[in-house]
Amino acid sequence: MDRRKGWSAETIGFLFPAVVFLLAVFIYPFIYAVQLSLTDSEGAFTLGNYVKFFTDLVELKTVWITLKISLPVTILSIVLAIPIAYFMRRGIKHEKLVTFLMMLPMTLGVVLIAEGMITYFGRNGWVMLLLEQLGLVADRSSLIHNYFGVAASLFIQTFPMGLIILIGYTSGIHSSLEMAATMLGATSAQTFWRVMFPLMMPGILIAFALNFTSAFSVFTSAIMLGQPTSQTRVMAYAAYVHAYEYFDYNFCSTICILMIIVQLIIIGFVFAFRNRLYKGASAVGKG
Amino acid sequence: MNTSRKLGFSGIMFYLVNIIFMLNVFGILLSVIMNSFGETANRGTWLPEAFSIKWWEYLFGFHDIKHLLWITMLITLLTVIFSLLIAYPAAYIIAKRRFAGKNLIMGLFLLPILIPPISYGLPLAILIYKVKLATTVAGVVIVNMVPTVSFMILVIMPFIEQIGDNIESASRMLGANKLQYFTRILIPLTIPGILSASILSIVRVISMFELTFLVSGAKTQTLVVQLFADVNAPGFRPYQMIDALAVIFFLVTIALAAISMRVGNPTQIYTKI
Repeated sequence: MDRRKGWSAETIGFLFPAVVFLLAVFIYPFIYAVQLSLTDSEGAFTLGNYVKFFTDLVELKTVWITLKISLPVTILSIVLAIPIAYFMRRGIKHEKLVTFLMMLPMTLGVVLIAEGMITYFGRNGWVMLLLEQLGLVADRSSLIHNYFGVAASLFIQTFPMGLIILIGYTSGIHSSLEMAATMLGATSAQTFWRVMFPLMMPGILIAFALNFTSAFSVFTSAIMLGQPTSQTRVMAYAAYVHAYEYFDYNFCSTICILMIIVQLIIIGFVFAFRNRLYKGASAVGKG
Repeated sequence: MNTSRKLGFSGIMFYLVNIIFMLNVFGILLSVIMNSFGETANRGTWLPEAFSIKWWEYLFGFHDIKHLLWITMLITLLTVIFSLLIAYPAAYIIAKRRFAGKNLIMGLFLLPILIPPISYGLPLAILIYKVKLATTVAGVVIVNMVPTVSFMILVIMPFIEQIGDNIESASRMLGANKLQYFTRILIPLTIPGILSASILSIVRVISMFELTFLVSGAKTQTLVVQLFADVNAPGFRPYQMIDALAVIFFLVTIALAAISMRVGNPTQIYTKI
């Protein structure tokens, strides 16, 4: 590692393209959106967009709908991922293949999975057929174009991501800690709750934050598998409609800024909290 | 290392959740493939009542598949090439140099991966429309580059970190200048990283929907955007035809993903966060 701490010409020159690019197309649009959200269509300063958002029940309800979809899905995906990541902490047979298959929905993307779900969970799809033949449902009905369709699709997308992050953390916890606990007479439950779980906590927090931020901006599946004009009118969809159908860029920006603020707060909170947790022993191993 | 392992609660969960999860994912994919070969719309049978390729023929008459594949490939390759040119030098500095404000720069590089595309994509799309780049190949490439540059920096960084500093010192001492060090030593030594970052990015860009959707036009729609458009198009489009398009997208993506497994580990960037 080079010990120079200053900004050498090389450092500046090499960082320049990436930094300028991201400032121009990532940071500037954000500033531009803040500015749009604080002005009206004529360009005059106003807080009206924010006032409208928090007083118009149709708009305010999008927050509730978004939370109602994203929070349960995130919690479920993390709760299910914890025991699985714990089981995989020292590797499993055919790990590469298993992770490849688990990541398949992420790799293929939300559109393909949602397109398939329309067939699969639809009125004449295989799920309904199975439920009918098992005698669990009397009448065929569609499982999609409602809350369940969106939540299921969101789960399929976020579960693998949370799991991958957690596996990364769990496999980094040194096995000697677990062995020490067992040797000192802890039962496997005690070892898990008193030793492993606290060490997994930073990973759980990060996985939760990332899954929640991505679930919070649910968009594609809310359109394809929900009722975007009513039951699943999530924030991202509302923002999209204001820009692309009503050409109200100011209000679209307002919703986007609110979404980004929520997401930044969650990410910031988790990263700040993580640094206060003990992480010495979990810093070894593959990473 | 303890190798014997009881199944336990975590083991049961591992098999149970994974089996249910994967059965559903395979069910979804398989029902799409089956349906695309169905003669008539599925009326609630396990398999199509009669198999036929007529919807595939219909698809090739309905969409210009060759153009779709071409534009998808063009946008993906341009995005990955330009992202690589920007990301590689940045990854080198982050891996090898210390400077004031490094954490801030790292934060800037991380954010486009942490913030979901739709949140920053809408304001970005408004700007792209304002500068008249919307619906052009350039506009679509620029928006797709945002997360790709970040992703590539994170993937390439550890590969450069592994290269010892003494190699750089030695090359300097033997009279190589910076450019020669890069072209003759560093880049050849980090080819695995470059390959890995490129192919993983190709897979990501091909299935990246939101950003392309927000700025593309009729001529610059990629496969995935066309698939979305077909599902949500007003008016009737036979679902078997949409399923056939989905199968094409699936085959392209899965082939590239399988290649990417050979050269890199797609999970590695998540352990870096």
